[in-house]
This record gives sequence, structure tokens and C-alpha cells, in this order.
Amino acid sequence: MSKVNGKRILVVEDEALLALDLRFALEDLGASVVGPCYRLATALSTAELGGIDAAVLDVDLAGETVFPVADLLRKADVPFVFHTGRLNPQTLAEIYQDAPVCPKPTDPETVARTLFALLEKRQATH
Amino acid sequence: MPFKAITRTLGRTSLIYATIVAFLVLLYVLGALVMARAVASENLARRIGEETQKTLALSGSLLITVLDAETSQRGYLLAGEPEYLKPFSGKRAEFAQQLAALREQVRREEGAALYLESLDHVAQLSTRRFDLLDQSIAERDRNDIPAMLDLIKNGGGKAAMDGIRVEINALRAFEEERLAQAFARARSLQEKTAAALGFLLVVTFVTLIIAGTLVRHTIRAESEAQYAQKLRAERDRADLISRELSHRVKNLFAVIMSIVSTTGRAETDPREAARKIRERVQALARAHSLSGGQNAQHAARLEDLVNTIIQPYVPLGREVALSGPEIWLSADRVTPVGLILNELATNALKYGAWASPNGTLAISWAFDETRQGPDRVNGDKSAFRLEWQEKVPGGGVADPERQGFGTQMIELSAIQARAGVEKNWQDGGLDVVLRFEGDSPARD
Repeated sequence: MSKVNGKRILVVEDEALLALDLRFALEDLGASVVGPCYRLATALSTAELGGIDAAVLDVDLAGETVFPVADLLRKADVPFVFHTGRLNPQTLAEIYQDAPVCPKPTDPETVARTLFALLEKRQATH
Repeated sequence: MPFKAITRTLGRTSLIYATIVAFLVLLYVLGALVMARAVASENLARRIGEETQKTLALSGSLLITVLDAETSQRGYLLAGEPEYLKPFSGKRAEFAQQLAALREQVRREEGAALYLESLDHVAQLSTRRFDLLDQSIAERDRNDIPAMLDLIKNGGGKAAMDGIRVEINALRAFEEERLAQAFARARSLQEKTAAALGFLLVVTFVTLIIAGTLVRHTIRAESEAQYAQKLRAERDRADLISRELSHRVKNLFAVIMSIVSTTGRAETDPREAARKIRERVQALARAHSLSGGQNAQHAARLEDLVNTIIQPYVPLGREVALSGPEIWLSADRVTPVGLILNELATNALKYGAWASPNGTLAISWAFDETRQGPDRVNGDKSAFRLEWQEKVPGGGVADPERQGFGTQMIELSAIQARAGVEKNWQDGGLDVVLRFEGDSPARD
């Protein structure tokens, strides 16, 4: 876990308690949380600022979808996981092949560990 | 593909209709032809009838003329009185005239040319007959009775007269036969026409029955297809609702899980943690049952939500002052506002207005005139504020929780509900103001 220590993780989630829970889980594992962002607009502007190592993205944000943020992160080569109850995970995995999908409800520790596994894999290959 | 099936059915049906109509038209044309033939044949029979009538009449009077001449001659020969000869004079000319008329008539008739020769023969015979009549009258004038008798006996007058009769009767027989044949043909055609018309009537009737059955079948097929289409639309709608519901349930489970883990994280006493988890999940359930889980701009009334959430916490004999206009909350605000009200109510019970015997609570809400900004142009009044006002005479109990997780939960839920939070202590009581942003009309 030492490799993820101090990594900056963007959390995009429109359900406040879930966002809080995710933040606790990520912080427990040594990461620092950027956000949480509850709306697409704030998530986009936060992502544009940069300085993010990875992200947890809820797909459905109060009627909007998170895909513009996902596209921006992919372009910046920032890894992310989807945390959603909305779409068929298969479809999502087809569009964003590198992004794991954690279907709701998944406990936040598992979401955090999935993200960190992704980060470590990337560090090993880079 | 029922739609394709409809068009296919319709295509086939209209082809059948076209065939039926063409069939009927053909039948009626044939019927009209048969009728026209029958009428023509009847007209021909009538025309032939007129001709034969005329020929028969002419030939009859021809015979009468020669017989009249004979009768007159015999009267004179027997009585010798010139009076008897009166009808005789001019009979020869009359006969010739009538013969000429008959000849003209026969010449015009179809298939009667053969009889022109017979009439030539009649002319010869009649000349001889009239010559003999004249001679016998001349002998009688001279009173030469033996010569007269000899002339009558051996002159060949009877043979000539018989010859005329034979020829004329043959002509009359031909005419009568011709008439009979024409009428028989007309009658037969009439019978055939009647039969054809009867057949046409039956066929038309049967065709109409078939067409009626087809129309009924088509209508039934169409309505069945429409029903299937409606059913499919209903099923699609049900599928959509089911997917939406499934998403909401998953989300709800995720929220409950985070209530459990975040509350567990904040509380050290397991009993206290369990109680708070139960209260928060209950608040979630009540807020959810109020909005009916629907995804709408007008999901629940603010007053109903306030009542539903705080009612279980109000101590016996206490009243809560509620005031404000009718304000509707959109679906995404119902749950976070419900959780905020739940936190405020549990705190009031433990440390605030309801923890003291004389404490009071007033909750009021209003449209926020000062916060409408650009939306005001559109007359948008959806920005509003909610005030939670506790008054505790003599001051409240110190509140260790107020800087803890409850406060954090209120602040997070307020962000989710697109509201700002202000907290103040006034007269020893908590005063909380939530300022809600207006719903932008673009978002729904």
C-alpha cells in the first residue's frame, strides 16, 4: 500500500453519504481525496485543474452522466473506476475498456482497493 | 413484426377485393350482353311477325278476290241476270294489283326469294283463270249454254284455281312456320336470360357474403394488431420503470451501507451506533415513501416531509409551530432534506428544545425573494429558505455532537440538496437556516 500513499483521488458521487463513505475508505488507505464533487460541472472543472492520480466516478449525476469527465481523464491518462447502479456493466466496459466497474452497492473499501490495484498495475508497467 | 403482418394482410385483402369487383363487373357485362341479345331477338321476332302478318293478309285477300270473281261469274251463268256481274268487273285488275303488292312484300322478306317463282306461277295461272272466266261469261252472253258448259268442264279452270291455292297455301305455310320459329327463338332466349339473371343474383349475393366475411376478418386482424402494439408499448414502459426502479433500489442499498459504515465510524458505543443507524435508515424510508420513489420535479411537499420526519421525535404534549406556503421538492432533494431534518430532530431531542421542559421549536419556510438572481426575469420563484428555530429558556445543554458527524452529515446533505447552511445560537437555542437554490428550468 505504500505506493498509493498520498495519491490524490478525485471522487465524483452525487449521493452525499456515499461520497463521505468513499472518502473515509480512501483516506483510511492512505490516499488524499479531491472533492467529493456532486455535480458534473464541478467535477469537470476540478478534473481540468489536474494534479489528480486516479478517480472514482459515479455515472449518473442528478440527471447528467459523468462521461465528459471520464473522457477528459482518459485523455490525460488518469486511471479511474466506475461506481454505478445505472448501466449494464458490460456496456460500460466496452466503451471504457481500461476502467473497472464496481456495481452499486459495493462497499467503499472494495472500490478503494480496486482503484489502488489499478494504480499499482500502471506503476509496474510504466 | 405485426406491422408487416398488417400490411401483408391488407395487401392480400385488397387484391381479393379487386378480384371480386372485377369478377362482378365481368358477370354484369355478360348479363347485359345476354339481355341485349334477348331484346334484339324479341325485336326481330316482332318485325318478322309484322312481315308475315302482312304477307298472310295480302295472300288471303288475293284468294278472296279470285273467289269473289268466281262467285260473281257463277251467279251470272246460272241466273243470266247482269246484276250478278257487277262485283266481277275490275276483279282482274284488283287481283293484279294485290299480286304485285304481295310480290313486293315477299321480295323484301328474308329467305322467301324461293316464293317469287311461285308468285310468277300464280300470275300465269290467274291469267288463265280470268281468261276462262271472261270466255264463259261471253258464251253465256251469246246464250250458247253447251259451249259454256263444255268450257267449264274441260277448260282447265278448276286446275288453274287449284294451282293458285296450292302455291298461295305453300307461301302461307312458310310464313306461319317462319313466325313460329322467330317466336320460339325469342322465347328460348328469354328463358336463358331469366336463368342468367337468376344466376347473376345468386353470385352477387354469395360474393357480398364473402366480401362481408373478409371485411370482418380484416377489421379483427387490424384490431388484434393494434392491441398487440399497445401491449408492447405497455411492456416497454413497464421494462423502463423496472430498470429505473432497479437502479433506485441499488442506490438505496448503497446509501444504507454508507449510513451503516459512516455512523459506525463516528460512534464508539455499539448501542448508540445501532440506534442512530436505525433512526437514519427510518428517516430515509419515510422520505422515500413520501416521494413514492418517483423521479419528478414535484415529488413531495416540504410541509409533508417536515411532518413525516420529525413526528416520531416530538415528545408527548409538545407542539411544533409550522408555517410557510406550499413548496414542492424535486425528487433529488427529498432524501437529503429528510436526512437533515432527521439529524436536527435527534439533536433537538438529545440536547436542544425537546431536552428542556420549556423549549420550543418553530419551523418556517418561504420563497427566497433575495436569491432569485437572473431567474427572476422568468418569474422563477423556486429559490426558497427553511428556518429551524429552537428556543430554550435558560440556555441549552452543551452539544458535543454538534461539531461531530451529525454536523458533517447535515453539511454534506445540504450540498446534495443544493442548499447552503447557516447555524447560529440565539437565546440559548439553535437557529439553522437552509437556503435552497432555485431549480434551473433546464434541469429536469
